[in-house]
Amino acid sequence: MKVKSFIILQVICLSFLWSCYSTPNSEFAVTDKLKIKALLSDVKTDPSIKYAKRFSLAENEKCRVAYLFGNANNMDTTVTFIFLKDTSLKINSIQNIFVFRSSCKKIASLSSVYTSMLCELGELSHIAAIDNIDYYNNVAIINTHKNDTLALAELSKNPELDVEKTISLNPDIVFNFGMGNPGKGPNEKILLAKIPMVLIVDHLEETPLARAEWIKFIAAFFGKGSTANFIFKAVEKNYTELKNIALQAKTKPSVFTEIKYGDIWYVPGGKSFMATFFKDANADYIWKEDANTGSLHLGFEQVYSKAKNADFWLNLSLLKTKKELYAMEKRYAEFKAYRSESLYNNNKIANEKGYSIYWETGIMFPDKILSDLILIFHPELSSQIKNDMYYYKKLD
Amino acid sequence: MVNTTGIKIINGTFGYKKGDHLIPILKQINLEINAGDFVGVVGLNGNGKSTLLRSICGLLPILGGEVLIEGENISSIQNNELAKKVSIVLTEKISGFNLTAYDAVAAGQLPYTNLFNQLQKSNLEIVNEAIEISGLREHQQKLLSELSDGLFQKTMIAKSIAQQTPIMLLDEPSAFLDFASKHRLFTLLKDLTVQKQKCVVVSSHDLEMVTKYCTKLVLVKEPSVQIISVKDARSNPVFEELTAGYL
Amino acid sequence: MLLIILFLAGCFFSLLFAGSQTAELSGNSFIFWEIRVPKTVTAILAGSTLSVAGLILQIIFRNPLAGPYVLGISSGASLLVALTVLSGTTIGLFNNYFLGKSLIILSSVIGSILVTLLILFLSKKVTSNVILLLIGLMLSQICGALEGALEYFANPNDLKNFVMWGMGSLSNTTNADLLIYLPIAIVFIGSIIFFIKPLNAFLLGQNYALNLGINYSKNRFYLILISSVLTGITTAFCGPVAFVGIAVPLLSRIIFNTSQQKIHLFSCALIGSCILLFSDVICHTFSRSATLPVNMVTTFIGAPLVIYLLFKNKQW
Repeated sequence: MKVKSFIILQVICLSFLWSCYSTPNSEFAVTDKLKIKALLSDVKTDPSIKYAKRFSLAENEKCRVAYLFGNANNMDTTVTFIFLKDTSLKINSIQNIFVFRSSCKKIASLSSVYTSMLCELGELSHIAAIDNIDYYNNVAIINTHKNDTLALAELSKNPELDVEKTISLNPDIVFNFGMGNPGKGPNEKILLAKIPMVLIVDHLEETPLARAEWIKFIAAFFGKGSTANFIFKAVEKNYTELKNIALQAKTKPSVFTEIKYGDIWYVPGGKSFMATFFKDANADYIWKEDANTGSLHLGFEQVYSKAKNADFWLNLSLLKTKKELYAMEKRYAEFKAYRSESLYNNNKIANEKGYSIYWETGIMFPDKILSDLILIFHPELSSQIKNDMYYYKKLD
Repeated sequence: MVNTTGIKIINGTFGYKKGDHLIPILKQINLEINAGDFVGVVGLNGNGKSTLLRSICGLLPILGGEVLIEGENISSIQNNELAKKVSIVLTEKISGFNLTAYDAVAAGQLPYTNLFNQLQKSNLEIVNEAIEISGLREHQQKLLSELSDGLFQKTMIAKSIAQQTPIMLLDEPSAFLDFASKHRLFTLLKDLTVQKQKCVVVSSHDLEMVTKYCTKLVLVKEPSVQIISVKDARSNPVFEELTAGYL
Repeated sequence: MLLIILFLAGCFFSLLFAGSQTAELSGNSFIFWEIRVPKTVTAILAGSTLSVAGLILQIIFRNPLAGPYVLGISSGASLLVALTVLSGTTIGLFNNYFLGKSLIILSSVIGSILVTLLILFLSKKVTSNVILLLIGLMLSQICGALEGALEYFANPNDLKNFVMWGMGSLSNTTNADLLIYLPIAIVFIGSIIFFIKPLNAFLLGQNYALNLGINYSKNRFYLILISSVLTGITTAFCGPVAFVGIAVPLLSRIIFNTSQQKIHLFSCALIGSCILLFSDVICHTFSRSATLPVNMVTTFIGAPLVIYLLFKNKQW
């Protein structure tokens, strides 16, 4: 009997809490919601976004807007970022809608991909924090960090984001990788501290150009749309030209990628970002028939049976020499690509920890990756490509 | 007015229940045990001595018939009230959880304490008296796991005394005791029946002890029982069978 | 007395020093109120709920080697949460804060009840304490493997949602979570004072408990329910926290040489809180920027204690 009354008490407690939650600061939120609705009623979508599907930009006389579609928690969520031109407007941020009065002057960039985009946009001096210096080749960043470690804080020395450090830094904006759930763990706390955080989901895009186009999204936070357009236009032009050059090739060499970690060989799916590169470089990706946009988890046997006669083997983790590869697994020598020494890795320029510049700027400059790939797969076309390889290097 | 009927069994059928399946061991038995009786339950192993004792104190379900405790049907008595009427000493050994002999004896007062099992002064006096009577004073602070079999048996009997029940059931209490201890134990139980008018039921293999101290005998032979006076034991064929003529 | 001082000291250190920044009461109030306070309260709640759940389980199973983590109950809870999160995310159940949290708590509690009942069923078939412990460890391995398989097959975007489930963490609760966690923990720990008598009687085993007027199966049912709720909510907010549930009741029995469960109830809650508070402090002492997972520290404290007791082979 006593227990029953306690269960009832518990139910009452919970229903009380429930009533607290269902009306959170409703009045303010409602007026802000209405104001925002009115503000955004006549925005015009920027038609120049051609490739990216996970963000869009828009504008009217009073403001610029960036929309971001989807996060790790819910693919249907839209997060809105409003940049007011008319700073006299009194509108506050509400859930999933961030309102900025001025351009961001203190940036925390939690991935080297966004950091290099920011540098390219000329925002280096405003970057106050990065994820972890170990991942960087960017000379400007490394020098800034070397000269004054306090000027450039590292927020992800742990696998998990250092929430306290981030909050005491109090940046205007945090660019974070969109794998994390905004409603859980460190992200939840940072949003709770009213620090605007963008969970960028460029990894959900399926083509290299779509990912490169995200520079326009980042530029929106600093009103540097024209710079971004200029950068992207050049990339787009180069990429298209290179794609056409690749089509002239007479051969279509076959290719596979990655090495196994433990027992599992993670290979890019047939509709992934990497597979599109191979298609555009006029190469025959072993798993091109596959329908996955993410990666496939395979065993050695499955990879061996399909890839043993492939012509090329790319993206071999952090490895630099054939010897290292052989030392990891003797059976790697059974691949045709190993015997014909057609092993290429993307670490031509890498820091002492082994992290390649490919991971920093490759997303932004897919044209450079494509030109490298054409040089690898179709050496006969090298006369039409003016430059050397940017990222790739043959394994010694 | 003290009710002199301790235990009354009418057409009782006792045994085990496995799911919906009934396994009766004793069938249609009738017994009457009064206050002040010192009853020995004897019989061959597996013939239902334990079943009988466990059924009387509610550890086993009644499969048929009625068991009356001081005139009241056992199934209509509240758990806590039953605990104040019938206590049992089992053969199982318990230990662990910092339990000392004193703790185990004090547990006998549990049905008389409040919600938080707080022992008042009156409760403590009863516990101390039970320890005194059973001669456990020097051993009361020992852990149960440190006690010899004999001392452990005594501890559980002291717990039963501390439970202050008019009916005490003991399952094979003399099994691990040496000669002197056995006599001391039976003397103690005899005193309880005489002085406090308790009704004590002891199951035992020790026919010598039982015939020496008890007033009545319950002869258990599956599936029935009979109650006789100790004086009539030697002329009883079932008892003869048990002794095989050696006693 | 000493325990209470330790407890307060633990609170103090955990509030002031267990983080990458030096926070003062007057300093950055957000860090203090929104990060340190919830973490400290979570450490206290997790420590006391798990320890009390462990105490109850040890008595119900009459086995000093029982505990929510070693018997796989925490893992069961976390497996069911992973399942719920995975299936719930796809149909968008987690957009509403309250509904999402309630679902997670509910599945966590159901998970722990299911594993407890399974262990209870199995415990009737085995007689040895150590074998039961082994079965529990196997169950927790099975749940862990199933969870791993879920992660393996799940969409990589959903993956991050329950990576944290593998390891206990005290820092993922917010003050809003505490509004749910705190009352449930207090009510359910508090309700145990109504079960002091059954707990004391259970020490003597089923038959003697029955003979002392305790309705064994009914009380056992309620106690299992309470311990499952305690384990369940803590797992819902912190993930499976290792070894606290088994080690703290053992420690309590060493420190307080008594069989009175009301004393152990309080001391378990206090010792459990202290251990998690200090584990949290230790996590942050080695380096300002790098934190150790809290499970690592609790395992370092708990596992040697269990091994020591196994060697000593003393019946606690």
